[in-house]
Amino acid sequence: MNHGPLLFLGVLCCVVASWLGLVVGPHFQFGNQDLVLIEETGASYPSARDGLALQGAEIYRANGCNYCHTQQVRGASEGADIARGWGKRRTVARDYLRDRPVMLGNHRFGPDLANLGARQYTTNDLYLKLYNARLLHPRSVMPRYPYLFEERPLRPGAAPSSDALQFPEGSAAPANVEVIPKADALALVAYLQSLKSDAVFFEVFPPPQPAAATNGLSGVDTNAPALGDQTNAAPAAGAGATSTP
Amino acid sequence: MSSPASPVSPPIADPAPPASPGEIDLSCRWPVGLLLFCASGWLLFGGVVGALAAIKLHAPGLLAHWPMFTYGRIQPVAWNAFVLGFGLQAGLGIALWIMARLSGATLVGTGSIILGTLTWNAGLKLGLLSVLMAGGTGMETLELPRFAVIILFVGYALIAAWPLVVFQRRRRGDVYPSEWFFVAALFSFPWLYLAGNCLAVWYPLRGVLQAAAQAWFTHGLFIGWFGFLTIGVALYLLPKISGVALPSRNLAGFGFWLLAVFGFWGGAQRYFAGPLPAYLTAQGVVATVLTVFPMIAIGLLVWPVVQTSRKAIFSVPAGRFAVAGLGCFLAWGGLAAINCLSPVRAITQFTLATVALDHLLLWGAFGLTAIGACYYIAPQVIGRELPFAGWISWHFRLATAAVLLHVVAFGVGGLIQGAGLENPDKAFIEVMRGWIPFAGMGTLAMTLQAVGGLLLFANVVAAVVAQARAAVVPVAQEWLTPSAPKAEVRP
Repeated sequence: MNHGPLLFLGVLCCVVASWLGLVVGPHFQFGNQDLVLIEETGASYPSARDGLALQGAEIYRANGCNYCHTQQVRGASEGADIARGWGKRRTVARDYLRDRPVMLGNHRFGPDLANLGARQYTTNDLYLKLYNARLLHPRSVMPRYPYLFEERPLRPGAAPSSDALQFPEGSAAPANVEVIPKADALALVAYLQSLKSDAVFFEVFPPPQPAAATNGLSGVDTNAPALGDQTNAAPAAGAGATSTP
Repeated sequence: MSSPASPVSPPIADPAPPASPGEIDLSCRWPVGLLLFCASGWLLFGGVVGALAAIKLHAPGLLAHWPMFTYGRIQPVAWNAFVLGFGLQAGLGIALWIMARLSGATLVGTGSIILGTLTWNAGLKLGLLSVLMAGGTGMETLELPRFAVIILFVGYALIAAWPLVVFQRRRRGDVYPSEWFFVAALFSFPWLYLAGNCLAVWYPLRGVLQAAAQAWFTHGLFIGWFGFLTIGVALYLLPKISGVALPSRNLAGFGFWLLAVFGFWGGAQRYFAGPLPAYLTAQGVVATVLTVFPMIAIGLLVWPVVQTSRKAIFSVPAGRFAVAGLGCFLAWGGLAAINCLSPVRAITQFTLATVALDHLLLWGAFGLTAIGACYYIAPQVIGRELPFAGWISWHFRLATAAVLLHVVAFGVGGLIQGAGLENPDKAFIEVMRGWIPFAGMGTLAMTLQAVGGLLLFANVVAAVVAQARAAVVPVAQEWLTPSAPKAEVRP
């Protein structure tokens, strides 16, 4: 161990080996994954986002939403994500093919968003959460994003604009102003509503018990075996043990 | 055969004898002094911004109207300020000085190192400003935009080439174990940071492979920079302060190589049960558990030194810091191994507990060790004792209390949060209410860290000012005293 070059080569080998094993190897394994054609609908999955939602992804990234929100659903045997109604199946690598950057998130200070677009939130609800989450959930720790909105003074007696946020009854709505979402808020909500990792294809199938009602999705067992391959031969009790080749 | 290893090995049979410590310190004065000065400034900044981010976790209304202070931007700024501002610069400064001392060679490339430090700081400031102005990459731990990372690389190359030159010019026979760890860290970081940025951000791989590259980078950084430096510094400081040699050089080698072989593989367990293939996370679990063995080796290596000369070590602040830091590192190794087991991981995943573990390594293990080393090295490099000696003990108390408080609070809070998340009948907002008091304790811990950082920074600034005054005042007085009109001026 008194030879610099030997030390250098040894450490280099260790770093390169882990890099080959953890990054390059998986890249050759599934880096060429392609979109899936869902035969029932004729659409490919994951579907492309429209321009507004793509802009919204940039707002999501710029404000670091992924420091509190994950976009990944664990299988039914590895957590209560599915029981909480955050998705009807676990997420797999193919769900993220169109994301740049992929913002999986590591912390759940807020709920998971992988299927937010499939949950029953109105657009107004999402705006309200962004404007001030405590209007809906007192004591929520979600930051406010007032800079995504414009507060316009409202003349007494005048009706607010049709674009303005509608505040729930009894909430501490700001008086004499109307709150209009700015372009950034429109884009961000379009992105949030585009978040759906719910398609069922050969790689995944929902666990035997349907997801909770809050998911807002009806049963989809019908098309599960359509593109059948060996994953469908998994043990009947194998909830959540389906993905990943 | 197991021979002891001492930081003062005999010189090799070479016509040039090792340089004296005084000469080495003088050669290190400007480059190492500047690096440590900047590092202590970033430690203070990281503490302040970290406290701000911690407050926002439980008081989200604070500064809500300013986009640049939203949690999602402040949090990465706090992380990068600590990692790239304090972690990298303190690590480089400490490695430069210790390697020069161990090699018995004066430091060369002073100008390049100073230029590199200025470049590094400029790049980091621009990068953090860019994150605040919505320019973050969205990839956790790799947030800095490309232009800033390129500037950082230029700065790093200008600095990190020179400890290796010093290593090549060494005038002592044996390479001391600390130097293995430093050389390994100096080589690992650029490789990890470049490959991580390229594959996760600049030319991103497809889909979740970006997350695989990011996880590989993050864990590599934890082991390859923070872990290696923590061990390297502790293996130098403890025998040096106590005068007791490490019991076995072979045990040190065993720990080093095992950590190098297993350490870099642990990343993917961050995405347990996520969309990465299961074999990747399983690899991460295996590697993290195996990493316990080199940790045990390091523990066995250092234990006799601490055991036999406890009094000598604890009488010096740097010794206390190093023992506490190494203790945090070994605790991190054990807790990380427990945490990655799937029954535990199912609870702690996505909670404050993962934050607590990262904090234990960054602010606990590396933070404490590096702060101790700063207190040890700064007076020798500046050439003057730090003026407020009492503050050093206070900083030790504040920093260890802060780490302990943060890790325990977030650990317990994380378990409560995880148990709540696992219970689907408990509304999410109720789960949130369970962990908020613990997040509040995090604010207190980060405030203590910020105060500690202020003590270090003020001490270093005061020492520099005092030294500068001692150098300048006599000269100025000589200039200002009226002299005989026809005094001869000699060049």
